[in-house]
Amino acid sequence: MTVLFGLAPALPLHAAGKYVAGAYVVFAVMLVVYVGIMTRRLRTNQRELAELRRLLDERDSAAAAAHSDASQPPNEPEQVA
Amino acid sequence: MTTHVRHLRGLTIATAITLLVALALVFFYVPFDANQGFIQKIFYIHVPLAIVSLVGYVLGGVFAVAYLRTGERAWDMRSYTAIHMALIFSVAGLVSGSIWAKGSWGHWWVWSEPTLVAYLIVILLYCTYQPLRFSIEDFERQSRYAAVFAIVCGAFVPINFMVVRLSVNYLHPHILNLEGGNLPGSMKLTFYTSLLAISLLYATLMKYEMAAKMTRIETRRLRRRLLGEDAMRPLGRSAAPQ
Repeated sequence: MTVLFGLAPALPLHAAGKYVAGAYVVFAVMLVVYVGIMTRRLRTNQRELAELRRLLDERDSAAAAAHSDASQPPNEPEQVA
Repeated sequence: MTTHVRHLRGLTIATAITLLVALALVFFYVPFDANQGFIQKIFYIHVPLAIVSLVGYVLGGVFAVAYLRTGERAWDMRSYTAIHMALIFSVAGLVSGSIWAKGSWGHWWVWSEPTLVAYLIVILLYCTYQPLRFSIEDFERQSRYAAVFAIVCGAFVPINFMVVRLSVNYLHPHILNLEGGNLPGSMKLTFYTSLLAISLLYATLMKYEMAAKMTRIETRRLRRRLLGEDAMRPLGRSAAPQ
């Protein structure tokens, strides 16, 4: 192994730079793409949760209105003069 | 706060700091390798990615054992996520290794090299994990069969690794060994910091993935409770645990 690398001299900086940059950029791009996918999924989840919250509020307010209607005494009949 | 998102912020910050420290060590501290020069800096990203991905596969098998023992769906989810993340890390490791090979050996891929081919076999094996899950409609069976696959393949990974180490004709450098390797001090420090950074990244992304999946399941459960079974869209076929 050492002999092999000894025969193949180290690449100069300007030649090796693109390979090193390539390897690290691939890693960074994969990370960014993954974080992007996660962000999209998070947004979908947040939208669904907001919709559920809205439905729950509507249901609660409808139930509260029904409860207050039921607790009020019925209107007295109007007296005719 | 659920158990899935607990410590997530702390872990994320720790990962970001460790990654930055590792990159700083790689580019500003560690000297150029005497034999390979600047291109050897790929070593600090390629090897940790490969190690963490292999450990991830084994971890998937360990979680699968826990699933078969307990029957808890959370273990199946952990096993699935561990393998899913390990596959992503493997692809990154494979691409970075291929770039390094092109720079050092002049070839993107060397088929006669046991280390490369063995790693590729492991990746191809795990590429069948998701299609296997997807092909089974019943979620209970899907989890059980996937767990068996994860255990068998998880056991195959270290065996495969050992077989490659016992091989004698290889181009691929084997720098690390049980005696701590033959890296000089500064390279060792940089390598272990990179390994820690990539391990933390794996753990963080796995936790995020788990949190996203569990939130999705809980949202669906809430919808069912709120609107009833009739308002639910039927669950489509999926490779992910439900």
